Amino acid sequence: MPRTDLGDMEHLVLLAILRLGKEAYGIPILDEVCARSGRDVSRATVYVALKRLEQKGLLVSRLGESTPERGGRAKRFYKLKPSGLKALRESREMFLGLWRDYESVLDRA
Amino acid sequence: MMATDHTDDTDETRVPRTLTMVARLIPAWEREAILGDLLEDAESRGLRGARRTAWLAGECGAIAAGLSVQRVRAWFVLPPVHEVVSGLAIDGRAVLRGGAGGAALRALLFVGSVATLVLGVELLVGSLMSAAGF
Repeated sequence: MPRTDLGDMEHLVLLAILRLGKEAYGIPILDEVCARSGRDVSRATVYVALKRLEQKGLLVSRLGESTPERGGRAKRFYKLKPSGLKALRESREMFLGLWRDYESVLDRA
Repeated sequence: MMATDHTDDTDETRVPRTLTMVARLIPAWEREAILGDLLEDAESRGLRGARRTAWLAGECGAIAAGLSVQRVRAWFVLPPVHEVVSGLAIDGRAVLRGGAGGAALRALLFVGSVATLVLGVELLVGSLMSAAGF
């Protein structure tokens, strides 16, 4: 079965969702991505990544509770599907393998 | 009895009219959750009045634009731009010059350009009508 290739932002978003668990909705995902990457990532970038990951079948979303400060609008929580976990694991193995092979090359450069 | 200076907290959960129009560009099934996220974030940042409206409209517009581009990209498999340009520059010129094949390719390019323009206009009109509430 072909591996699902993940982009840089898709990686960050998937890992953020994994870390946040049940509280993975728009705002905490953005905060986690910014904190972990050290970059000032825009909201639009995160929502587009979430959309792409759902289209790839790696994520599933559900509507949760609403709160007064949200004007009564429900939160959309995200969760990794088994295919999403598989994609992350395969990506990790690929990068670990690359670094094992090329670490000495980087050190010599 | 002295009138108390009461601030109605629910005022800040109102969606400004400007934002409602811009938000219509976001696909319907995602719109409410994204609007809710933006309202919650604006509240946590302590934004009020015109600053709040401008911030919400800006963020909403950027999200709508990003999601719209993503939707259009999903309809096509787009090669990298530099590959298309270099391919046309290197191979296209010779092909376009010669005979029946060149004429057919020129015709295809013309039809493709018109189709792209029509699609672009349709998307624009659809987005504007959606934003206006139709």
